Amino acid sequence: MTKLLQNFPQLQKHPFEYLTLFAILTAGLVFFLSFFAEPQLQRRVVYATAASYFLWSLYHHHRRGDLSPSILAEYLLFALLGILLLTYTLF
Amino acid sequence: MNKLSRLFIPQKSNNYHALILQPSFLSLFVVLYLLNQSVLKSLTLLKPGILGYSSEITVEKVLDQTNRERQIKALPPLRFSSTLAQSARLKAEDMFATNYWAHTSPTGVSPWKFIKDSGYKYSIAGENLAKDFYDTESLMKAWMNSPTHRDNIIHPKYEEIGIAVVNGVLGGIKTTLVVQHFGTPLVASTASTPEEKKLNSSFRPEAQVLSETAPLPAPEPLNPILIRKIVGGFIFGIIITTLFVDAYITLKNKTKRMTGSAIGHIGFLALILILILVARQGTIF
Repeated sequence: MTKLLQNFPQLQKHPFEYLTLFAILTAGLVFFLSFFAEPQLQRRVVYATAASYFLWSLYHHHRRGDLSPSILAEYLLFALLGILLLTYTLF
Repeated sequence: MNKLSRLFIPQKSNNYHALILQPSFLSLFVVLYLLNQSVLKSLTLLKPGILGYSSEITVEKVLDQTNRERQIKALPPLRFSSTLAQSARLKAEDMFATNYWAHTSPTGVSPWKFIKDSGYKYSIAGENLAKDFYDTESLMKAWMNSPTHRDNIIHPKYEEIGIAVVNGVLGGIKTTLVVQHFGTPLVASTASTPEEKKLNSSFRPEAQVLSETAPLPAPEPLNPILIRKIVGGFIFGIIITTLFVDAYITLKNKTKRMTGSAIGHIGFLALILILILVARQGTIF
């Protein structure tokens, strides 16, 4: 495990931050599945997860000291693409 | 070739970050995807019916699986009522005609009106709706996973059911609506009235099932959901592959750069992929 982590220095340097991201994504999955028959609530879960992912990026890059408009735009567009792909495919 | 490699491989000329993953190209993907949706939407408005939606659902299968669920709960099977099937069909046709998707129409018409108009006198009644499902198994799974829909299916007081599987254009898109009407007739109080006799004489489950399952129109060549999935899958595939290539080369070369976290992006997109794969199809109401 330690050897595996050595290949990912970012994970080694910021384990708490990546654990937080893992928790956000897992919560998104759990809530989405728990609202199996409620498309409106599932849609809200998708929005909330994407927003949390963007907020996580603010926190993560602020801590790393490399927060920039370009990085923010990158996360924002990833979140937007995720929402579009999911909502247009499922709802 | 060098220009192409800049799209996918981090190098000096792209500031050590694959161009595909940079905001300019990500914006392009967002625009392309939105454009695809707009074209599909415009097509359905300008040429309604050109985009098809084929379904394998039949009344027989829905009835069979509904009664199977009741059997699991040790409940008696529901009898097929031609009167309730007619009210279910009227409801589906009204949704297509008035272009809505709800238990109560925008003009305030409730499901009970269709049941009463069909001549069914009930002591208790209920309605389940579904649309955009490909197969009966997924449809039943979605209903059984919803407490309110499940309650209708395994309600001990219901004795009869009517089912309609109707194709039409809703919101400009060709789709299949499935309507279940549940009921228990007012037998005791009206058994000797002519109206009740008429109801009983028209109770021909098999004939009704056959008429309800008349061959569906041939599948349309274009399915909007399939087009969305293909375009979405193509964009998703390009981005996730580039992310892996970009992350691998960056790790291998130990490049220091100011970009978003590849692990974060991969994790987020992996979640999106999982949700698309595990989510059910169609909508129930």
